[in-house]
Amino acid sequence: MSWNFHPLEITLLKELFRHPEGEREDVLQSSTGMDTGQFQMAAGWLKAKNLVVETVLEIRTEISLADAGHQYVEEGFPEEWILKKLSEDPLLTLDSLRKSVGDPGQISKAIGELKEMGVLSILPGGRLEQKAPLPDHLTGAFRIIRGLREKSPLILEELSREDGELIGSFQRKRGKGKGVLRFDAREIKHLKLNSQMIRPEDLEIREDLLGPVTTELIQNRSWKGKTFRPYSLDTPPPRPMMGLVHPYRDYLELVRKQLVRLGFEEMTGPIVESEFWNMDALFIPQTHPARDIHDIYFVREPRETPDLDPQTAARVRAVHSGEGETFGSRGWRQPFNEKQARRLLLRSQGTALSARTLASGPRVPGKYFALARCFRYEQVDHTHAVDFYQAEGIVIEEGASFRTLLGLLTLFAREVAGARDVHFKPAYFPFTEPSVEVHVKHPQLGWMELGGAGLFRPEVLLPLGVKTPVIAWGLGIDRMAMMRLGLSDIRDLFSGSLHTLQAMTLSRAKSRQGAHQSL
Amino acid sequence: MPTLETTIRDLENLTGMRLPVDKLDQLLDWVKGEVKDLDVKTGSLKIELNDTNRPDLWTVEGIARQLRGGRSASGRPWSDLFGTVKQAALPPVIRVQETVSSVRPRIGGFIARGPVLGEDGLAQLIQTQERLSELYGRKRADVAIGIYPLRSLRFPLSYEGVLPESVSFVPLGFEEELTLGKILEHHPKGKAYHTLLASHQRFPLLRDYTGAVLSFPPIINARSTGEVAAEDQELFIEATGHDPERISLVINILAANLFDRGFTMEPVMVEEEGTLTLYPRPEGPELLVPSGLPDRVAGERVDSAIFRQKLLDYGYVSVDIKADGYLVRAPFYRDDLLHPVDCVEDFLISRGYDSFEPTLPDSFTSGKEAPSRIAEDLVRQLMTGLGFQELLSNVLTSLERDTRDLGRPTDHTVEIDNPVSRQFGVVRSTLLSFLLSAESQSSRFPYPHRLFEIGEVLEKTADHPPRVREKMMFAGLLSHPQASLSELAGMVFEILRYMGQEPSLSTLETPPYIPGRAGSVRIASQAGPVGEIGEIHPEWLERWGIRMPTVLFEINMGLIYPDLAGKS
Repeated sequence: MSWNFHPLEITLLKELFRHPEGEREDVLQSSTGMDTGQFQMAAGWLKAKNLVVETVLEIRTEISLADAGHQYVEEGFPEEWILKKLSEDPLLTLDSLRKSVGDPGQISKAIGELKEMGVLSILPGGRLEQKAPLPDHLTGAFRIIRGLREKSPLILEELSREDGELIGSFQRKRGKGKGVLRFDAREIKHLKLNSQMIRPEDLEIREDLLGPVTTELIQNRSWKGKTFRPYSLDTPPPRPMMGLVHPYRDYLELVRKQLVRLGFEEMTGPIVESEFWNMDALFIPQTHPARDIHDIYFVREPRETPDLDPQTAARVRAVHSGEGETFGSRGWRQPFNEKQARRLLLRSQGTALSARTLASGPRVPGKYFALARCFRYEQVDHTHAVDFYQAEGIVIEEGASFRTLLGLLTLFAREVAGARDVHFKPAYFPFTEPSVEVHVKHPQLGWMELGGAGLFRPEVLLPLGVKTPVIAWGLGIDRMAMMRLGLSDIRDLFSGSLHTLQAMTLSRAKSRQGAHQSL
Repeated sequence: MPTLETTIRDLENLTGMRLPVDKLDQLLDWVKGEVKDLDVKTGSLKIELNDTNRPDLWTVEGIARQLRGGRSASGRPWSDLFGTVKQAALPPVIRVQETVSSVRPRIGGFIARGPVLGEDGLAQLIQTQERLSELYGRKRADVAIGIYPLRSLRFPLSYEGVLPESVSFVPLGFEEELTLGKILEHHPKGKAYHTLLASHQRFPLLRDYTGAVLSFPPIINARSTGEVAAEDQELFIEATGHDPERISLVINILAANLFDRGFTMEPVMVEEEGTLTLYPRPEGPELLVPSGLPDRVAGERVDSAIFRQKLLDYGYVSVDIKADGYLVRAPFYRDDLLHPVDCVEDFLISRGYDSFEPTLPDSFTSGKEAPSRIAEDLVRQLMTGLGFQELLSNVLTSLERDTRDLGRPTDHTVEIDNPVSRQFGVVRSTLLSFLLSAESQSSRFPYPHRLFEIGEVLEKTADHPPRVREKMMFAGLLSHPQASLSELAGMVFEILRYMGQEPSLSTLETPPYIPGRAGSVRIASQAGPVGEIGEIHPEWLERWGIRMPTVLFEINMGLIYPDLAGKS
């Protein structure tokens, strides 16, 4: 068999031929003179080619200084420092000691421990008194830790049993909160050549072969009559950083294009919205639980919008209070507070955009949509994000009805979710009647909710001056996106980790390969 | 959303139907509910109810009744609500005193006599009381409910307002007498609901004929009235609040539920400033559904006989076909019909949503993207062409992240009044922090790193009063061993040229940049700067835990495309 080796592989293989019984990785690395990255690459390639057998010999615990450790080694440990202060000033009190440092918590903790060890006692009035010297186990541990300034890391397994225990107890006591020491477990591996697979002759480099193509080589034609050294095609090429659109954005753009294709015009609007457009215009009563401070993010300053058209506000007020022109409705029969209507919040639903569009003289017939950033008041976890995208929209059409609504949802199920089986469930939204939830059958996941929709109530349309029936719809695109991007944690949609991002992009590529799902 | 806890057994008993587990969800479509949790072994069942406007459905009796098409689980007609024997000529009375008018003026109540309540009945009665007072009654502010064994009180009752320190009694759960003021301070219920009364001079009090305290609404009952038990046969139930319609609905729901459990009601008269009101009031609202409305909403011709029948099947008391429409009467435990369109939805549900044939909207409209997308798409195309990876970040972030971690002041950042956590306490005013955060999380990813983001940020203006300005920004980060201002500036300039601009830099001294290695980005058509660019000072790199030379830029798109300028 003939091999094409990378120079790093050759170096390592040559070293391995010198150790027929095999050798530890760290020894091999230092004798080959490679840095850790090069060594790992070469070893990895050879393992992949099955030329090298790896065994884990032992696990070694490396001890090094953590942040607080560095500080203590330079400035002294809090226990030593306190005793030194006390010897300089026998009238020292707990309070003055605490005030003299940047981190009183650290001092209190050290004093507590000194007290427990019987080194210190606290006299009435907060004065401190030294009862005994620092115990040996503590000074011993300090000595070992100071040693880390000269030689780091220490190997726990190489320490004497006694020293190991000193440090160990130190770790138990301090390890958690402060991080004086770092303990890292490392595997010591042993590499051995698979001698059936390779002979030393395989490594001979033919000096007469040409290396890389250079400009000089081209210009002076020194390649004439010579042969180029063949490359190893098994060596994985380096992965470049790709310049790509965010995979979630990519998905959103597909949804956007699909909706534009279906004849929808895009709406945009502010993320800071008034309660009026987010709630009141949508006939959500002012006492509704969804308007509670535990459900909506309010803006601290400014608190209220100065822009509220008095005529529109008056018409909306009438349907809420049930007094005046209510367009055949009993209304909520509750007082309508204009101050509350002006209150600024972070948009909680894309329907606010639909309300604004309806109020500003929309086209009839007209179809509108928005991919709107919305905010929900929720503890963030793997299924709840603090902000998310909602696909929302309206269809304004003479004769729009419940059946048209079902038709539109069936269309979305097919075009946006790629689903054939659809089930309509009665639903409740304060601004639509009738209201429906659409569930679709996902080929793998079974039935899932695709979105909600309905015909806007007369109490929403007529105060905004719209006399044509209007279908309102919303789709839960975050959920669909998570499926396409292979995510189980919604927070990863907005992750800053390039590894997570790469994984999402590749998963999206795979799901595209999986064919006939539309988006 | 209200969530109800019950058992399959209780629901089967009340509906008189076998409820196969796999059909349950579909069955609950009729009440806009869904199974949240079901333990097949114990039969315990959690149902989430989506209709926030139908509190009658937040109870297992209400759900069963709707599933039975409005018929009572007791098998009796609703006309028997008050029993078949003639009631006493003079009903028991609650007298409302003038003194309570400024704090919690309204009360309603009734007596229920039955077989025994039973364990299921008791558990559901308590749950219903809780759910109606907490959700429908908005944490007892609008409505609070009191339930008493009838034997513990004598009519007529008196509902009055008293000074907090003038009356004391032993509240439920306590051993000693406390004044009303002290109950607010010390009793768990007092602490929970004290804000409802704190600003009032007088507190509401319900006493019986002997002057004995029955309860201190909306806080707690007196211990002497005793707690309701499963074997109780006679109950008195009252509800207090501000709005007589809400009180009436709550009373009606409770009466209907107890009727379903075999009880018979005795009405109680509330006497207030000379007016007399009898509770419960077993008459639902009457509504005229204009002829033509069902056709228009459904999108097809609706046969009037079928419309009538489907509504009756859904529990409507009567549907009369008139010349101008349908005169319908809803059952007395419902008060959600605001507009005739609500009755049409009931018809659609009763006939079944899946029984309607979907049709497509038939008008032609041309689709269009928002104009701002054109600029966004251009940026995305140019940046990815330069090898930059796009990021997407949360719009909410922490104040520290947004300002101090960049060495910038906090006055332009829009803060949230009621954040869930400080981590998401403000709306971002820049995209730079997230770029740095992403870089600090990705040190193990092969270099060079080229990152960018486009998105909205908010700025609080310096006006009096301040306004909120929304801006569309794009920002980028370059990080690798030789990353420099000149490399990134070259890229940014090229992008601006492809946006039809002639860019230049002017001096900018601001953290987190190295002095002398940062600049304001300018374009010929704008007097002020449109953005910034600079090399991050190692001091700030260290703060972010970044160990690689890093350069940043941020540009306000609205200043390059003034037509898209920020919305205030």
